[in-house]
Amino acid sequence: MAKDDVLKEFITLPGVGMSKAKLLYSGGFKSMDDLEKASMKEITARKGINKKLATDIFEFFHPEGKAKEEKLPPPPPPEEEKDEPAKEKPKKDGRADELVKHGVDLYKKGKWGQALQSLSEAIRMDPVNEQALIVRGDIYQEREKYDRALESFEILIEINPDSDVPWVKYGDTLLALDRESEALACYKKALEINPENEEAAEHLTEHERMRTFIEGLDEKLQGGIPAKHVVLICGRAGSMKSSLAYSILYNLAKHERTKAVYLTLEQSRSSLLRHMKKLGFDPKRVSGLVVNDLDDMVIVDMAVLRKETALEDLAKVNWLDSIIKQIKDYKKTFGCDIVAIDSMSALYSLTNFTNPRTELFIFFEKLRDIGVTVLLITEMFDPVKEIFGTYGVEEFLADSIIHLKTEKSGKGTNLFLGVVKMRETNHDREYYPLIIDKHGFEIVHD
Amino acid sequence: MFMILQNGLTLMDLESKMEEYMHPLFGEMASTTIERQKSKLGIEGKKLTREEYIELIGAIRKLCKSMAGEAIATRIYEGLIDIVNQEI
Repeated sequence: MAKDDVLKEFITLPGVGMSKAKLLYSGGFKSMDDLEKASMKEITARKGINKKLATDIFEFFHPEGKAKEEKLPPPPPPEEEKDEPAKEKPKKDGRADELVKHGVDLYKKGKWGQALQSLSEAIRMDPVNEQALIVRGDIYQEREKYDRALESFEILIEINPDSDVPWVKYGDTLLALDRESEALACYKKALEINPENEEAAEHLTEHERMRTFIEGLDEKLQGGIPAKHVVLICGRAGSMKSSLAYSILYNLAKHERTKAVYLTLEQSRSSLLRHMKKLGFDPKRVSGLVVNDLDDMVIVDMAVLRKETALEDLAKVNWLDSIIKQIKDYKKTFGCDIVAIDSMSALYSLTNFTNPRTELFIFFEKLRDIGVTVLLITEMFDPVKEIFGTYGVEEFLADSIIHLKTEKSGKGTNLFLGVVKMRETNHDREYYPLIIDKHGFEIVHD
Repeated sequence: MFMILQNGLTLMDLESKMEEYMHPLFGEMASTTIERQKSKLGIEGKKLTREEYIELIGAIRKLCKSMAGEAIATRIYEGLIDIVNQEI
């Protein structure tokens, strides 16, 4: 597992912020399993991990209270039992609060330097003054001193790990640093603590991504395809569009239990399953993960329905509307996070357009409104021009375009993948060789 | 004019509910699918008995299975049976 993924898991532990997660990781714990197997003594021995935190972590994995059973060194006597005079603890007094108020006033007047001085003084007097830490973090964030902002919010999280506010602020700072996946983990944590936190929910909706599981690609897309996007998967015949879309759905269902629907309008369900099995995407491996008595990934064969229906009845159906209704109702009844429609050319062949540009505009808008990620498999017919859609408007209407390109090389044909367009994502526009083996798809890059 | 079933419900009520339950898989084709299956079973254009509805739902289940596999087919089948059981 990648370090980032491990850190994201660690910060879900009680009292563990990103800094502590990093300390645990650098201390030799490379997975949650490592931590679960560790004794109290081993956790405490790590630099920067105090006994209280070690106990919290240990008891998280062993709630039956094994921490108490372990033979630990006796705790030091309370301060008052010692002969030496008790050390003066930082007192929370009115003076610190006054400094915070003063700092906030200065900040409102735009005197952020003086505001920071006042707030830092307040924190010196009262190191756990949450208001001072929040405002100081906010100022640092606004001044783009992100590392310092992170420090303030980390302290806040350590002081009060059960509060959702610092998690959101920490996430905001990480987002400003383009550390999106870590930021999303923080928003998720905030929502766990307070499911009503609208800011965290909004960020998650805005930034949530669907991994493609195409090795090498997700890291180039800031973690994957933005969730709820309408994505064209384009290519000429034989460019493995269906296989690629299928593999994305299959892996999401298999690894993340995403509810996926593959809507096939041409190829039969049985033929598709046979083909995918040959590529290593065995549906039985997915059907082992049963949620609500349903498979996480379902292939719906609309071709069967077409064969079953009289031609005059087929002609009466508005297929664009029907598909929208179907996905909407499927989502409502069985749950659905991602859907692939294979293919747009088959859908077009069933549709009598009067004004394709307008009708497709409405279709794409309705797809977006459903609130699921949509992969539209789109055949490119022109042998020379790269037109990503039959009517020439699809490329403007879609949020993203993944282009699969074939190039003849000697007697064979090589396959390349390029991300032509992806809204809300920093990505390059290079074409990378695409290979498939028993482990799935992979793009080859340096 | 809708046909009246034993408990006063119209045939349209029952079949509308069946159609609605079939939308996730059939979209706007739900209605034509019901009629097509009735026709294949030779029970079209008349008031269906409970047994005939069960037979119709069995045919729809078979179609669902070939369309989307066993799990979804069972779910649709059970839902449709529930509707018939509630209404007749």
